[in-house]
Amino acid sequence: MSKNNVHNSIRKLRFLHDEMTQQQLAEKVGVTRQTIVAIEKEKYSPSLEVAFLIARVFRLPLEEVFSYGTNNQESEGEKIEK
Amino acid sequence: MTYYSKKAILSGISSIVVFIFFYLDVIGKTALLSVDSLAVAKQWGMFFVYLLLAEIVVKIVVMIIFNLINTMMTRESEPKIVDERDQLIELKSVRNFCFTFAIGFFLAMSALALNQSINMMFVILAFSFIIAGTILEASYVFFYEREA
Repeated sequence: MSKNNVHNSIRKLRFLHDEMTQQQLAEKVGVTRQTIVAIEKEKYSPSLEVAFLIARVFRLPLEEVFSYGTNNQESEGEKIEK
Repeated sequence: MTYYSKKAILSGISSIVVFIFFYLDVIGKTALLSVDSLAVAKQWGMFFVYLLLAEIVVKIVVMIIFNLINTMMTRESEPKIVDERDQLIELKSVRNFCFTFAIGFFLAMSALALNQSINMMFVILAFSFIIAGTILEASYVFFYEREA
């Protein structure tokens, strides 16, 4: 089982937002670039405040940027949706 | 390697160098004294005071030089923001320092309880200080590199 069950789509969202750099996102959120790198690689789970701030930068609800669950749970969730 | 990792490695190395310098000095001085005399405690007291002061001065000088060289080599200046991840890593590293030093303190007191000399107690205390300091810096490197 993966230790970090918080997943995110920041990398994809940055690309869709005029190929925003990690540094630009970090400045908008108010954290260091290294923190954005760690969040993107899913090696660090941000606090709720930082998660909301990231979602606000992309003008999306939190659950469209971050999701929670193991791969098994995700696949079960997808089955239910189908 | 991140800025903080490099800074921690340099800080650790400077601490060890300063410690060795002062430790060899105090060992030489206490070797001439009776193991349980009050003069031994005085020498060790001076050792800890001078060690702390020297570490502060050396670290300030080393960090100024490091920042200059690092900025010239990588064109990356010192991070201006200390965010939640930095604070979390600092907390974890200081926790490791405290645990290690507490074990060292316990061992030093155990040495006294087991009728060892005061000199031995101070030697254990000094080593627990430098080992805890090294673990503090190693923790910084470990947490920054693991999550980088």
